[in-house]
Amino acid sequence: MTRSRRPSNQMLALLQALSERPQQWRHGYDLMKETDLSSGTLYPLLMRMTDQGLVEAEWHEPARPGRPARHAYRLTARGLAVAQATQDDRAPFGSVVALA
Amino acid sequence: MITAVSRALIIVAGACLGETRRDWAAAMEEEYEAAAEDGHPLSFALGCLTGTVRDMTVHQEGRFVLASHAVVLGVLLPIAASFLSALLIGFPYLDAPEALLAGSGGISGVRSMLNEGNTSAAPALALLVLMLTGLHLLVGWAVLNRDWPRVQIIVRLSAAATVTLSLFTGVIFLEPGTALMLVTALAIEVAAVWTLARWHEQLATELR
Repeated sequence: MTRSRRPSNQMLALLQALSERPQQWRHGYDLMKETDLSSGTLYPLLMRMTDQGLVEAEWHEPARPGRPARHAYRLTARGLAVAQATQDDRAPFGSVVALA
Repeated sequence: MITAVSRALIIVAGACLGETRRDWAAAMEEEYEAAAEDGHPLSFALGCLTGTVRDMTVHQEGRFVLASHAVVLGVLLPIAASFLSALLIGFPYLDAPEALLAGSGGISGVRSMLNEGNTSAAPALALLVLMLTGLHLLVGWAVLNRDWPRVQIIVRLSAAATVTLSLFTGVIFLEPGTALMLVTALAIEVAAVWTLARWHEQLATELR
């Protein structure tokens, strides 16, 4: 059964931030600063969205040598469709998920 | 100090996520470095910890971890503490209820349940109670480590010590109440640990 629940404000903020530059991989702390979400809200949200197939995550080599790899995130095609739908407010969240 | 506390919180937060979310635990630890450079290590770490604990309640594995900690902290540790405090006031060879009322500093005048013929058993009885205290602590540790073979061994030892103490208090002292208390404590421990073991077995099957 598809859940037809409207995304929370936090999820909308995250979708918007990720959809501004959809091809770019973003790090968690940068997303925190941009969306003003706390780490306690951001990470569970990222985990849920990854489980739902809206976000993909992978390890990236650090910009500075000698630093450990960082986890980076970006929207999947499905996530981008949801982000665009919620921004346009053309369709409810549930029907977009059902179509995907 | 703040850095040390923040780092500890991040490690605990990562541990709360469990095996299936190990990547995310590592991700939070790495992003912690960025937060620390930015001057916000504690708020980042606290947020991660509250977020992971909240997330635990959503997943079976998380609920299992919370339940196992609740059993250890809410059942096994109090039983161990009860045995230790009872031992300090003379259990099982002093009349336990009166000894409890008398408090740890006022055991004078409390009836001893040993007579001249078996007073030499007092140290052995005390050792048994101390052993039961230790076994309850060990079984809690084994439960948190999900080391079920070790849990089985410890529970068998607890049962043996409980039966021995129950025989002394129930038969030689003619004190069935104390024996009943001991057996009840063991039954609670076995029921709680068995439930956790079955739950973990079910989780392990689902995760395979």
